[in-house]
Amino acid sequence: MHGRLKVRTTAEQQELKRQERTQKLNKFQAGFNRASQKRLNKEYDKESLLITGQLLAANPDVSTLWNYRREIIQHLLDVKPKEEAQLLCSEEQEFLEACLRVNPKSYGVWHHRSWLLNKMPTPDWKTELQLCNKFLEYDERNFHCWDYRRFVVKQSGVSAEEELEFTSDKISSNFSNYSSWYYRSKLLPVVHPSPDGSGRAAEDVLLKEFQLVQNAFFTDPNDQSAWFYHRWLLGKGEQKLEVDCLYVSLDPPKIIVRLTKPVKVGSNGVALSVSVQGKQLSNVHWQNSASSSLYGSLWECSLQDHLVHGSDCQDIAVELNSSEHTQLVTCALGADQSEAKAVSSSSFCCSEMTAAKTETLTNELESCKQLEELEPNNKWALLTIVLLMRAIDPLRYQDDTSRYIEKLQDVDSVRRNYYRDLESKYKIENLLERRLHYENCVELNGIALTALYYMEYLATVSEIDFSSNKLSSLGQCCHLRCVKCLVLDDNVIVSCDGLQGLPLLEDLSLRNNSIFLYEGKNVLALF
Amino acid sequence: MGTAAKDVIDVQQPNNLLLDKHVEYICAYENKKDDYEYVMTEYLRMSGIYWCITAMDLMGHLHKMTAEDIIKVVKKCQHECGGVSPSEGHDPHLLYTLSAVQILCTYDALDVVDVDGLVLYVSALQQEDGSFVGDMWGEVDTRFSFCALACLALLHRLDAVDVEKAIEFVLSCKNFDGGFGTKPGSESHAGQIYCCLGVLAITGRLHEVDADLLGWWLCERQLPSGGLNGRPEKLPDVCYSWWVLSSLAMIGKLHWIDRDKLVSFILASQDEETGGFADRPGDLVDPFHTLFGLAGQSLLGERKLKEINPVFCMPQEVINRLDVHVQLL
Repeated sequence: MHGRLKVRTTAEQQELKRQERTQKLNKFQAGFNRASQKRLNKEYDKESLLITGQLLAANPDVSTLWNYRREIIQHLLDVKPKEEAQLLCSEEQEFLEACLRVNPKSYGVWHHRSWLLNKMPTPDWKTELQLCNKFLEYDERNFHCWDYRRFVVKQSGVSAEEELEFTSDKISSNFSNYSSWYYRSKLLPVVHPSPDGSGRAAEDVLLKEFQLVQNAFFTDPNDQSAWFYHRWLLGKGEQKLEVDCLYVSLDPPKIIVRLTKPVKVGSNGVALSVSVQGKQLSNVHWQNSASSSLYGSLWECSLQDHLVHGSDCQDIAVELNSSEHTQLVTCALGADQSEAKAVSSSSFCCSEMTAAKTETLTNELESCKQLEELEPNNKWALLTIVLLMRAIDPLRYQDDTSRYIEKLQDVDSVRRNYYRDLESKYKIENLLERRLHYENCVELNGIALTALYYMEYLATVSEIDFSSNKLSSLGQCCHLRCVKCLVLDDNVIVSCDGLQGLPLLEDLSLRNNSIFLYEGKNVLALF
Repeated sequence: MGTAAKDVIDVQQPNNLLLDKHVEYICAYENKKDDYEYVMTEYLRMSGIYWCITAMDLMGHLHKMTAEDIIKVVKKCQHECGGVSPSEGHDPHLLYTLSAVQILCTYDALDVVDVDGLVLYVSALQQEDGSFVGDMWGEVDTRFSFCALACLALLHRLDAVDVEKAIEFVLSCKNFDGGFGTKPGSESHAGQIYCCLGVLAITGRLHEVDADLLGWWLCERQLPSGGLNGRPEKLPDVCYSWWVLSSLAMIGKLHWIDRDKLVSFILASQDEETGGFADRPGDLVDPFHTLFGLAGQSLLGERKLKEINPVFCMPQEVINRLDVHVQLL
């Protein structure tokens, strides 16, 4: 079904082909019918092996035939003495290898081989590993073979170190290494686990990987796999679950809790308990800002009847209880205050980097810029420069980042929408890095925003201006739980979906957009 | 010295959707029961039928297929164990059980089979770690996780399996590039990504995906010819217009590929003489690529086609009629 060229042939050639195929077809049908008959009669003999073998060698995707063949082999293994059984299995191995030479990507063949190896009285895993080596020589990207190799490695106890060595060999001797780099990403954390128990690889090892991957893309700047791997090296680990912000307001009386990642609050999820003046509240009903999902990072509950106007300082405490983390956050609502916040002190973008890491990344940036001089239109170098600048110091490099992203839209125009959204994400990250989302008023106008990221972080802002951008969708606005005034003029908004249910919205401006008439009528219905 | 990027030479023709020719092609295919290709693909016939009727339904010509005959065939292929085989004389398998359910849903004819039997068959294939095997012979693959959950979702019987464990297994297949492979530890591949995202969309867990990272990997599938490949350094193929595109749709990043260039590539893969789509311009056509070429076009907004559901690869109106709901980011 894949890769068959349509070739023009003469009528004579067509007729010859038709005859050839009719012959093949008849032969196949006769064979299949005979095999089916024998199977019905529960015949598990040499003839059965012969027929199924002939059929499968040419048609390895007919899984029913593999099923029958397994029944035959299982039967023979049950009745034969051990040496004969082992011999039968080695013959089957040879048969399978012949099949693989013709069809190295057949699910059926590889699966049958793993089935066989599990049945063999004395499996020789070294031979199996060598088979994998051979087939990976033919095609380093054959994922069937890699999967089989991992099966062999698991069954025979080959160490992760040895496999890591194997990937190093592959990478140094080959092009087209995506599969090897990928395997490496799985092996590194096993061979060199990070002492913090995060499941990532140890930092000093990751830093050495930069050297390895740099060699790869300097040898071949268009070797995609090295660039993908590099991006992974730059990435952060799994986000830890923590309370990022606790917000309390008096009018209306409510709490908003922002977590570092989406969770389900309630039964089968995490627990969020509230105490006011040291007394735990019962029957707290938590609502997710993303109402269409059970999961969210922004949760809200009402404190009706629990907060008092004109009181002295009121202490509010929220406790997060999950299998991975327990945390208590407190906040004090002063006597003349209408709202209060307790916020995490961590930087938004940058986790603290060790000196070694900063040095490595700075050198990386230098190297990539050298590469850019040699190949000014290499999009991989340009993108990696952006990623490195963001990793090292987003605010310091913000103008350079914008320049590079603009260039990328030109050089790699097929993906211009991706780069535009990426730029939007960075602009909002910069705002958060400056902690401007803790102000009452946020302005992000005239900066060509195409997407709204991190709207959960603007949950406590009361005045927001996103005018003169390129926004088309407002789905993410559902997280703007405190917005009173929202300006969205001069965008390309097509639908007001996302604005319904914003509890404090009083002023909304949507001049100069692309809202359909039908939607326009519904805007009024939203309120 | 560098590796030359794999791609096809830019082909510009045909450049419009040859709907009538495709209708002709599928109708003719149904009638070619002695044809070599037809017989030799008996081992996947149930999926073949699903590809054909879904293509016809998308084009608004389902009535041209012989519903009665097809429904009879599906009924005959359900075995005692509850599972469905690709054709008579073949063993049942999860792949063809899903195709059968998709066919019967399209025809609103689920009552012709033993639905409880189907559910029992599917649920029995779940393993302790949450994965699914394709049949009693034990092959594990995330494709089968998708087949199982999609099947049960269409039948409103997700209660029959351990959904949490199924999700856990799928998530254990997540890779450094944000993608998913066949099993834990397997390399990312667009087909597997589609299957895993499908599972997460059905179970409302798409937030577990790094949509920006995966979306980037997916949009990097687009080559200068406009076509999409299935993973880095591979040739473009029309079927990836489906696997990659629907994946992007599920995570809300459909706009990250260049729509016009992709449309151009898909249209150029049509055969003007016979109708149908091939994997790439100049190759031989088949029903598989015909469905996915049309499905891709539908996702890209082709108004001459019905709206397609990105999770089930079935017309949205069928999914609505079944009252099945999925999450989309």
